[in-house]
Amino acid sequence: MDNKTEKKYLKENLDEQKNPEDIKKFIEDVELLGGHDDLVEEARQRYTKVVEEAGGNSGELDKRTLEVDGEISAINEETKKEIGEIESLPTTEVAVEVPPDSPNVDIKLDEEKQKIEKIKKLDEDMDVLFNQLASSLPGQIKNFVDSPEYKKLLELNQKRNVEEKSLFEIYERYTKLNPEHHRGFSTQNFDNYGSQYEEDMKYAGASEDTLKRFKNFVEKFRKPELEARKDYDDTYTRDINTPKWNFENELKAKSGEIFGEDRYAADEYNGKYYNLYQEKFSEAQKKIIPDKELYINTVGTIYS
Amino acid sequence: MTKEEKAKKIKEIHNKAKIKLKELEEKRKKIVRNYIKELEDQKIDAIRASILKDK
Repeated sequence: MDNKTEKKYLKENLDEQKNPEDIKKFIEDVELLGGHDDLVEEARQRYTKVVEEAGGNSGELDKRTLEVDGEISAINEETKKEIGEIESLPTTEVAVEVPPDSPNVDIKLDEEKQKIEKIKKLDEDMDVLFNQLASSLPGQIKNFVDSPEYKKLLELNQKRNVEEKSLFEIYERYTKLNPEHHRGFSTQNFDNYGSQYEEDMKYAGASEDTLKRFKNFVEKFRKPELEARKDYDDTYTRDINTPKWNFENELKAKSGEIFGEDRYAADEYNGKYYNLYQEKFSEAQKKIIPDKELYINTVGTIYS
Repeated sequence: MTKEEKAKKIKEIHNKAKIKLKELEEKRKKIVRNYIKELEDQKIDAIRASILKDK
């Protein structure tokens, strides 16, 4: 797992932590792992926030757990040191042969076989679930992209872009004339700054007609755009995020059954499937809505 | 020490630490839960007191 993927995985793990004790454990684990100081800091802030939300004080709680924290930290340090000492010992190339009839070897092999079988079964279950989810998405994508409505949307979008660009340039010139009030003529900021843009235009001496056209522009393009933006986010949550979360929960439940308390093995397993699934979803996402801005512009045009 | 012996030894150290850590984490969980419980009890007491005061 590269550092970026690891960070993403850890961030998602952090986002799921709701209890102070779990956040504390997260901090310890990530500190031990190293290389993610930003996440450690974020986790610390979250820890303080969670305790405060419960009506408490993180300082007070730290005092109460101070002794245990110290013991945990000492064990981590000691373990690191002991492992370091072993690793630094010279390695001899002579392998000690274990007799093939050793009962210990038999037990080990048997355990390994059982685990392989369980993992194989888990792989099969995951594949079924994975294929179901991944294959249902391209169907939706195809219908969406092939539909006459979508083609019409693209056509309209091209026309709209020409019209919008010239309007945009006009209004931008006006708002830039007021250095004190200009806040950047951005399509994203109309919900917050719409009326201030009007003030900027008045200051710059825009005529009543121009102001009227500007208001029409907001009504016709910007408001539908904001609605479309929200619609996009809702669609994205429904079609991409929710199935993804469901998949992750299934994955955790299954790996929990197999690996039990062996958190490291479970995490490694989850990580592998999560990455595979993420790749598929990224592909699907690109196809389902090829471009967020395009979607917003085209849907915005139809709504208007 | 061979590679296998090293790996075995490291695994032993790791497992030993894991058991100890697990116990300590449980202990800490208990402390945190008790603290949260204390806070909740305080809130309930405050609500109860305010209801009684209103009466």
